[in-house]
Amino acid sequence: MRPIRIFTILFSMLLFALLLPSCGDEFLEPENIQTEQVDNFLKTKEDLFEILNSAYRGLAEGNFMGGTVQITTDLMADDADASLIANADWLKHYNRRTDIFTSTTRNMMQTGGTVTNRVNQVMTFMDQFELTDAERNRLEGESRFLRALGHFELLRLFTLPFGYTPDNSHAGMSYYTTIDWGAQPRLTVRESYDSILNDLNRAVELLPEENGNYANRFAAHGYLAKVYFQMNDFENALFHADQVIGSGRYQLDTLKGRFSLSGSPEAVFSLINTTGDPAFDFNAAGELYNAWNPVNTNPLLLDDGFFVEESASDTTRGRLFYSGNNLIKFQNEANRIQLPLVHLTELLLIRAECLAETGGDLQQARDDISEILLRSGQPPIAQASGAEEIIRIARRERRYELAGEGNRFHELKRIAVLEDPDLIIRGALWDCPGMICQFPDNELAGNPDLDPNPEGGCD
Amino acid sequence: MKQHIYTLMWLLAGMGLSLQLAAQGTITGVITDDTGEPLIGANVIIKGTNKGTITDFDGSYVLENVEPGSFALAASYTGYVSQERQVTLSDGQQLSINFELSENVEMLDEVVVVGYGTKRRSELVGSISKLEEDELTEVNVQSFEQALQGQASGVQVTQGSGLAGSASVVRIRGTSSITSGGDPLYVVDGIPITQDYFLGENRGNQNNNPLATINPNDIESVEILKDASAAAIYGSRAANGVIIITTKRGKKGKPQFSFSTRLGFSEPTKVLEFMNSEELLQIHQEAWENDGNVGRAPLPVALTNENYDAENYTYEEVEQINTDWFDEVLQKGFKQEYNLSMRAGGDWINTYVGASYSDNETYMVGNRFQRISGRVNVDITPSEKLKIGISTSLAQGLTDRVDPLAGGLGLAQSTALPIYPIFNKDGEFFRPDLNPVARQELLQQRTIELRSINNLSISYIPVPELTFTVQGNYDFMNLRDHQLEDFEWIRVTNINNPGNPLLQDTLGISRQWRTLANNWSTFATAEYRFDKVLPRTHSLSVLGGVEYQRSDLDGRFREYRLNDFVYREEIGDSTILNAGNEFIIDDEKFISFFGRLNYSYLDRYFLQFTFRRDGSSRFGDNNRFGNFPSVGLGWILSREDFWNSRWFTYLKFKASWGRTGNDEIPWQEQFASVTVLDSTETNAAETYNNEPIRYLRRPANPDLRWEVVNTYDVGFEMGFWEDRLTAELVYYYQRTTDAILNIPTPASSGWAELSQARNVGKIENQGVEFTLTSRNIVARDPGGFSWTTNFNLGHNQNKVLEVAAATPDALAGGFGDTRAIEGEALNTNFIIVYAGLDAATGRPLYEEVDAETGEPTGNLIFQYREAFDRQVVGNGFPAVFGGLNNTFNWGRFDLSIFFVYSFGGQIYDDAAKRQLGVVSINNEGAWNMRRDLIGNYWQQPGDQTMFPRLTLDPATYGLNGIWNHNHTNWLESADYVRLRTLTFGYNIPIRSNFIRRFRVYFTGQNLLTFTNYSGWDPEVARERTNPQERNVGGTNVTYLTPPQERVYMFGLDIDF
Repeated sequence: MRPIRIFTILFSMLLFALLLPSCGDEFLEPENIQTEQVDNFLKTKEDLFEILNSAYRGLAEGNFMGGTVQITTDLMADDADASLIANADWLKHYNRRTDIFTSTTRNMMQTGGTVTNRVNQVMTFMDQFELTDAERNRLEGESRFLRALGHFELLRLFTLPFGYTPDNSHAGMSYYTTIDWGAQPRLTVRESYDSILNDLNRAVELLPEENGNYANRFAAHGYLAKVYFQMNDFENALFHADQVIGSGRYQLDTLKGRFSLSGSPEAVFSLINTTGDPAFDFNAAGELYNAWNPVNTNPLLLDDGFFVEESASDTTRGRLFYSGNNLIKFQNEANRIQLPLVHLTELLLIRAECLAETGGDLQQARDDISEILLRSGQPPIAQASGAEEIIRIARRERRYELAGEGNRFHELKRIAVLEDPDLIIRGALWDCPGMICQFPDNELAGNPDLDPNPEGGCD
Repeated sequence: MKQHIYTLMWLLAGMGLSLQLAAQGTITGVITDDTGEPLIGANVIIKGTNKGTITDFDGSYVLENVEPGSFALAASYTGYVSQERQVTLSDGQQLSINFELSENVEMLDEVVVVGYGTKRRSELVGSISKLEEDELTEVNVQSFEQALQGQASGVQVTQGSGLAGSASVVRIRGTSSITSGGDPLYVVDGIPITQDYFLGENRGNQNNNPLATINPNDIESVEILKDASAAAIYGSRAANGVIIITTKRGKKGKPQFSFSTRLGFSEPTKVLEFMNSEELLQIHQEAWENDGNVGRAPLPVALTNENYDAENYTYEEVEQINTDWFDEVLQKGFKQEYNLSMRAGGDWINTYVGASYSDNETYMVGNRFQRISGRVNVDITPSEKLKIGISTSLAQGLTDRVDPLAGGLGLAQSTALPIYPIFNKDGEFFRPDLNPVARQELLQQRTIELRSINNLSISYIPVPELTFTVQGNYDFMNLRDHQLEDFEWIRVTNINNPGNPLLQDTLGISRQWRTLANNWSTFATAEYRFDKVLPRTHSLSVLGGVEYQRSDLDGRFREYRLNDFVYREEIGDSTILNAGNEFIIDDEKFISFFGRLNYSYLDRYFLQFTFRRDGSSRFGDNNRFGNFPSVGLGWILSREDFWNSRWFTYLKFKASWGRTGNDEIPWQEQFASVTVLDSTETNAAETYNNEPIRYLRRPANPDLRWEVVNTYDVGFEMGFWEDRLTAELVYYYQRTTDAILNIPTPASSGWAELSQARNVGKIENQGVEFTLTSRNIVARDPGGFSWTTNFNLGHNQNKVLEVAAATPDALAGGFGDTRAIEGEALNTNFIIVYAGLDAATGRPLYEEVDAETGEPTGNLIFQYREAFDRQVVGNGFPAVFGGLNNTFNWGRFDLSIFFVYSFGGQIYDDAAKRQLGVVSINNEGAWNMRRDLIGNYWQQPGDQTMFPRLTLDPATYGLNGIWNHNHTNWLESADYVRLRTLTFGYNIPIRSNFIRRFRVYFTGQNLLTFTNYSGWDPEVARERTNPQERNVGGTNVTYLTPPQERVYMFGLDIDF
């Protein structure tokens, strides 16, 4: 009798145990901060716009277009003097010896990537909501604009320039269009540029003319001009620069006005600096501002070679932009700036050079350049100037107008590809291995198809 | 023939028939232990027959229908020495035979605590190491797990450092995880306790030790379940082994009191020598001139830079300064410990009460761990069928911390230069951030942990064979981490940040991090033992159970403005600077059922099955439940009839397989991770253009689940000359599949979190464990000379079989350049190979590696590229490690000499690259230099020295920066042999009825270390920020880590 009772007990225990899993699933439902947040992440279409807004934030971070891209680019070229710099990673750029453990490249790569990733989130989640056409076009148009921008800026730093091989079959980077985990295939430079152009062209179609502080159609045109210009595709660069300039919406600002906290009438697309409400305080481009700030203990300086063609006393621009070897164009009383990434100054110079290169309207080119020259306190360009002279002055003016904006390095590479295969940038051949940044470990670790760039060779 | 009749008889009996034979006798009796306590369920058998029975609740038995004659009657009981009596029974006679069994102290038949029960050692089919009370308390430890070092084969215990509150890295049979926790499961009296090393994150550069509040003196035994057949009963939590801690309980008898105390002091095992002021200035000057400079080398900016409001010092003044920071930060730490306990028991209630206070100052000024603890364990047996056990403990651990890197010895050997004064000329502190004396004064860190572990267990025993147990447990932990910052500290550290709102007129601030961990668990088991029903032939026991566990965690941070620089727990709400959000909220749930079946035949053949099914909220939606079976076999060959060796008296073969899991996974990664600007929050980091932002940081992985470890074991247990010499030899192979790895996504793919935990890796560990106990000389009579030797050795080989990563850097061990690389051990040193120096220029040379093949090209280069030139050069795991203990007793004297050893591992000194690298004293962040550089660096062409020529410029060494200096010159052998403890005791004869024992002793810890390692201490574990760093770069990577303590103590044990 006893064993029977015992077995009954054991059996019922076993039965109980077997039943557990069925009630267990519900019981085991996790509860924590994270699950709550995730549940509330994407409820309304406003949430989509917040994701889009986060991509702009990524773009404007100090680790990306808020400073690091421009700073490191200028350090690798010939106009920066790093003698006071203490930042070991900046010095790696200056010495053209970036390695896989360089924080600047790590951060640039990831922060640049966030721009792409977040707009891809927008495009992935968009279909879950009922949107008006205008909303849909804005979301997609801005997304494509930002995605192109994010890729373009990284591509120029980490791969050999467009035109390095005749068919541009040399290695580019991956172009992220989804939010799938892991690497996407590495493209050639040709394919990379095609992807960038495709996104920007779609953005032109989708974006409205007016879009507050966010990218509008002209921002897309402006970036297309910059991209085509980098490709030495002067026809297309000209077309897009014309679209912006011809719209009449943008006027040249004063020299100092270009970098102010209130924004500039010539800015087509800027990184927005917000003050006032501490809850929304964001010092966009603070990184760039501080890097050149003479008050800083270790500021970036301009190299003596920079002043060969223009000194602080030569022009109005010189007095406003340089103080000794300091570049003070960004500095103002607010200690903050809105940083224009596309502005009329550059587009006018692009248009002038493109007109000269394509044998277009040279008078228009001369007018464009003169506008810039006059503002900087120089005489206008001689009426007799031909294409060659226009190009020479356009390039010179780019060097001085865009100093500190990360222009010079890519400009030199563009020229090397175009016409000067033996071009030397601060003592080293323009295409020595160290002239492109080494991929950082956090990029290599996630992409089995990516081989490290060769290093060194620029001493 | 007789045998056959009995067999037939039992067969018939087994079929439910009973066969009455005429004219037989009866034997009755009682079986008790040596205290007179009846033994329930003891076995009585007539030797040479199958006739036997077991005792009932009174310990009494009745053997009826015994055939008359002369025979041996044997009584046996698990854990007791069996006895035999020669008996002559005549026809119809009724004999009364009582047995008094004494506890078996032999190793081979000790009682071993296994999961949810106990077993005799001879019954075991798995590998379990047992440590008893005295092995744990002999050595002076702050936390009990430190006492396990060298005591059990295959169990590697690496104490972090000599700092108070330092946690140990405990690895049983190697490390079987990369990204998940590698520490064993700790079970205290049946409760899997809260054991998170990162609850305090890595604040103050030190991990929290969750075991430190368990008083070692309350522990009766520690069982280490090493193989799967032993551990698999703990299922998804057992893959790293299980450590079962059993606390002391009351015993029947008069109250017995024990008082023990010890007092002593602590010093570092070694003080590494650094350059003094004169030497440092000189070496600096030489480097300055080597770089082509002329004139006097500039002073460090800390002595000249007015930005930091330091006074300016002239060179001549600086030459007069020679601060010995080591003198300032080191001390003779005083240690004291007091324990009082009482054990008592009566007919139905047994009690253990223990109280303890210990105060451990270390050799570092300001560093101290204090523990005050109390425990009450009560067992109530109201009836034979009911047993109630209550255990409760309350302990407070208080650690006054010194930051091992940024303060104390860390600062003294890095950025606190001997040319810096303690005080400026005006009497104020010189640069508190470079001044360990000032830092100690102005920045105080204290951790207070309140811990209570409780349980209530009720067993109902309806019949002797059956036991139902229900146990409820509650483990509570309140961890408070306080940081008190004097205003001067805030001011100095914010010199470059004048806008910091903290820089308001205040006496300072207090930051408090509080983490509450509540952990409830309950389990119910039913165990049925058919054990003695069929004596000497078959025995069977079945255990079934369910378990349920729930734990929640709540963390909160607050920041207070101080009105006085006094330490206090609570500060009024009005002074709150930052009310703080909850930084952790978590609620975890766990549910499980399990079973175990043990069968043995003739006490020779043993078979065990276990099974466990675990469900946990830690596992992703798609994989909530896992199954964990095991099977084990044992065969005692020496009990076979054919075995008749006189000297080889015991041989047991055992083999097992089992599957266990590891649930110490980064379980949060089953969820997506998002950033959302909450409307109630103000966080400007999450806005753009005056609008909020939100984004997905990482997608979810609902497939995330436990790691799986399959373990195969074969082993032999041996006894020679009646167990004068016993040995155990085990081989194991263990393979982790579904190992969780942080699968990286390229940075440019733009996720805010660049890795996602996935079950994709494979790792193997295989090794040999050997244990030897030899009673070399056995005392012939009490007080005679005896000598016992214990030796153990563990050998483990670790290999990463599969990682789904594109580069070694994907699975890194944090700072210190260790990596988990396919085909290598999971803490492989992956660095540049230093190839000596160029005798002509004194510049260092490195081996070049071919970018395509990964093989060295044979070229030596001046400038290396980390992307290509790093090589696999060793790893931190020792090939063999263990301990050797010799114990001598003679008369009233006792002496024990215990060595631990570790061979075959490498140690990487991550600080040596600065202390022996580029001279750096003229800039911010200037470092001290080691004295062994002097006389060992290149000075003129032709010199072949250990170190290259001195320089201030990293480029001279081909470096991209002063910190990018990781190569094999800083990698050394970590071999060591250490006199872990030496204890010499004497029992003072006291003629008193009151005092039973009065022993005085001296014990020394880490008295001698034999090693070629040139740094501080070869036993080192670097404090880390997550389990992956702890696994891949935890042990044998050092960065300013303080050395272990050498401790001298005098102690007194009084029993009364």
